[in-house]
Amino acid sequence: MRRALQLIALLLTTLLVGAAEPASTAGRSPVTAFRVLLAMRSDARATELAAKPARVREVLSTRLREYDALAPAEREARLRATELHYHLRPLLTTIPLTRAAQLAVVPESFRPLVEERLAAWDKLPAQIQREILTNERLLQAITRPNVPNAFPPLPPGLEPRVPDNVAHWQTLDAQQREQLLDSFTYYFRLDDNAKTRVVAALPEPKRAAAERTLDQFAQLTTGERAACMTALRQLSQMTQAEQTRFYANAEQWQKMSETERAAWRRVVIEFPPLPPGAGPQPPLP
Amino acid sequence: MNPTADMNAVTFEELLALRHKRPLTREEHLWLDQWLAAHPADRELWRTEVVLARALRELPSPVPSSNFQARVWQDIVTNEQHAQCARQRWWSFRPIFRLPGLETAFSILAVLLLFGIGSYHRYASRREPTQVARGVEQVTELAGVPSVALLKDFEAIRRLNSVSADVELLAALEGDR
Repeated sequence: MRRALQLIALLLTTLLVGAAEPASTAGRSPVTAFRVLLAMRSDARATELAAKPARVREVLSTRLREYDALAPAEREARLRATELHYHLRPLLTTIPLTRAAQLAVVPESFRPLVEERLAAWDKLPAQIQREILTNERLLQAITRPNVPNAFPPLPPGLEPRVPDNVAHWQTLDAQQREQLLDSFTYYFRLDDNAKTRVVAALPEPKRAAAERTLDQFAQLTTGERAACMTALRQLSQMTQAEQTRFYANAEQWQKMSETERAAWRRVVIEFPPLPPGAGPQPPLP
Repeated sequence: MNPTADMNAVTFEELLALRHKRPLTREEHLWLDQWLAAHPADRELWRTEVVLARALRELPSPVPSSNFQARVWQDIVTNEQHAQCARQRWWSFRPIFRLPGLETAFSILAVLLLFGIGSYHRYASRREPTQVARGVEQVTELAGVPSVALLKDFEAIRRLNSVSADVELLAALEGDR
């Protein structure tokens, strides 16, 4: 009885949300239908899925399993990011002067997010825009959500590989890591004589490699060095799985063209992850 | 006038003083003659007084210099300046010997405390080359693995395969419409 009441309430809420938004189906995201599927009992889902084409049924079944396994907050963040992508994507290829009519179709609850991302989009150089429009991964990144475990498992064939030097960091506690990083930062505040004494105190086999890295750091501006230190700190605090993912990404990064990298850098800067709770609130179950 | 008793001695003294101011009257002269006749010691005193008065009258009057008044003023001004200088020197040295007020003492104490803390901090944060070398050795190894160039792009690399919009799901749902 309670289940039935919940289902009726969900359907009514969905209808009311639909009624509150513009009547056109162009403005309603197909994600709404997926939300309804997620809220259904397994037997009702099976009935619903059986009526769909095989290709659609396969994708939806896989996704339902994946989304069922997610924590509610993460599930909702991913659904909102997908909805935002649905509303934003067509607007990226229109010129600002002709957007008004398309923007009016976007549900009011999503409109501020869409307008904010469009403003950032319009500031990008045309070359970067072209690069993003031809790269689906970059397009998706524009609407990425801010979720704790934002990195999916490594694709098959990509073996987890963490360099020995980095694995050694895992054996240190947080305080030891912080002390080592602090000593490293301290080095750059020393005068030339003191730096020479520090380098002389390094073990002979590692001295040359350390000197090369120190030279690279010395050539950075103060801001760049601080950013690298923050990155090192974050890298050292990652779990082994996160580090594995980072090094896999780093390999991929090195294979990317400079144009693609430049586009990625801009996307990361201009399109921060969607804050938790961004967009409309989901209907109550 | 009747020269009698102690009162008469006082009258004689008064006549001595009076004769410097004006000539004595005839009556006063008569009284004086009678008094001097009776008192030989006073006669000698009177005679000395008369001689001295005459000698003073015969002294030439000093002629003041033409800039006498100016010199007097200059002396007054000089004396005043000396007095003022002496006062200023005294005031200028006084704070050295005066005990500081509570606010001043607190300020001095705060400055000394800050200086002390700063010195201690510098001393405490000073590290041995071997200690710094240990940090350099381990961190350069860590930094050298992804390379410094990759560290500069850390955030972009980290986000490379992060969860984003589910376009596959969207395509399936739109295909179903």
